[in-house]
Amino acid sequence: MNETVLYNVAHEPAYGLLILLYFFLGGMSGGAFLVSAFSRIWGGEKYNTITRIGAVSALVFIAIGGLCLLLDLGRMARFIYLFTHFIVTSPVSWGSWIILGFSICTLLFIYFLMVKPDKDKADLVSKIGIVFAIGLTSYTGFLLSMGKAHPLWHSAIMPPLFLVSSCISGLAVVLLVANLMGKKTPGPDVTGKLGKILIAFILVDIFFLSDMYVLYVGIAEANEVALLLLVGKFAFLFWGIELILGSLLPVAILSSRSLAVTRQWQLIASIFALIGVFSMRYIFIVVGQYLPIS
Amino acid sequence: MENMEKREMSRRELIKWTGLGAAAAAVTGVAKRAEAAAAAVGDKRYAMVIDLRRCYGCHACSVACKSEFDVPLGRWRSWVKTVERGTYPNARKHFLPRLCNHCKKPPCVNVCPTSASHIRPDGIVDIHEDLCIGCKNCIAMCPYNSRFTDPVRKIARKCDFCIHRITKGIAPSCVNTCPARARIFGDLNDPSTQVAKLVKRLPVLTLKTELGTHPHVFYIAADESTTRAMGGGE
Repeated sequence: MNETVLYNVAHEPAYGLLILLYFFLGGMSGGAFLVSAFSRIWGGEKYNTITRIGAVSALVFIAIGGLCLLLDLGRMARFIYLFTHFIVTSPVSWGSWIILGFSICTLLFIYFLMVKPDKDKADLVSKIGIVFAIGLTSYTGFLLSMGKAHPLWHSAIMPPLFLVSSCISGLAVVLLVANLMGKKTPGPDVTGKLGKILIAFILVDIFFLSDMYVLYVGIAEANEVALLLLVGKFAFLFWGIELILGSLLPVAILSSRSLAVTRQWQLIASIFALIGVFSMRYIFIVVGQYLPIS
Repeated sequence: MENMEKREMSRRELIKWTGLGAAAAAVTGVAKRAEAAAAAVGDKRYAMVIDLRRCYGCHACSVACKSEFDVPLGRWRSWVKTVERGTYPNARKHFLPRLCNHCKKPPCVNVCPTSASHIRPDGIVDIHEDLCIGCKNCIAMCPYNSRFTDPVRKIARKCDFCIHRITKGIAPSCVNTCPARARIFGDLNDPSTQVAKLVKRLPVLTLKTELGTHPHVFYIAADESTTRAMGGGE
């Protein structure tokens, strides 16, 4: 039947560029911390450089990401209210405390790692930090999954999806920085291993994209958003950038025996993986708010 | 006199039980907070009925609301969604006056990190303007597009059922102004009000019932084309 909306109001989307940047940087920071802490626990001496790169980049990115979050607030000075309240039902409230705890752990970790080396204390803060890092990387997914009226967000797959893609960006950025260290770059045995772990995480991430089919067969609004991504306005971003450039190409490069150990190709693969994760965040923020909800 | 005493007693009991309920919810913690808020019902439960058999889409409610609150340009606490359905000569315009639904289980209150967004004992979902940090998460989570950021004060704003008017016993601005008497406001818990009678007697509809938010804005004779989420220019 012929239907025309003659008048309706759509208020401007709540999440903008700064939130998009925070989602990307915060996730990357948590991922980098996980890489750092686990390479210390499982890697041993050989991975010292990786541990340091991970810890420092975690601190840098959470600082920039936190700044984005602060700048996004309408009333910046009132950010203190986030820490005078704790609301159990609010992922934002949890997130604020998680960011605070994570930043403290990262700072202490770097302190006990580089400034005043203390093995036991570094071990302790890294383990507490792992808990905060998992919280940091997944709470954004929890937050979006509360958006009942947005089928792209309202899914239980969001927290694990955000955790996995944060690990991808964390691994990729550590690999990127490691390859830019010049003489200090760890040997191909170390970076190659990171590349292999990166492949595993990207494969899990690709598996999660099956969520698109669930959306496609879902309720009217879910179907609409799935079509937008699969064949509509954002199809190139989804297939071209997120899937091919951001996921399949890095997997292909890092699986190749000859390319995976060379510095240039590791750089290229990690940049591609970062672009993939950024486009994933872009899709969830922009496409998630693209369709009218009333 | 006896009746009044009884009412007083039951009110006291109610408060007692809600108090206990709230305490229990605080102990049980996560996810129970929303339930506690929903249970903390005072003796009033404000609601609105919009009778679309009467609405002819004059937008007077939108204008009255705009002037009542000096709502900034491009933002609306209340508006009338208009959809034209069918082809000439079998065509008709359908209207859906919109406002905050004052949900019993509001997603915006759940997500608010400072409890600025809260649910009052009389069921009105309101914002403590001094507590709002402008994080915009309530705006993102509202399934009804009812909230917006005030471009001047940089905090979340929305319809509050004209609290400043109803506490003085005057009808909300949109209700007061509606020339068709399509908007009806009152206390749902008081069986003598028109709102309570209409909701009980007539087939009513709430928006996005499937989301379990339990809106307190009820529509009579709403057309399906207007209740669906659809885009449209201003």
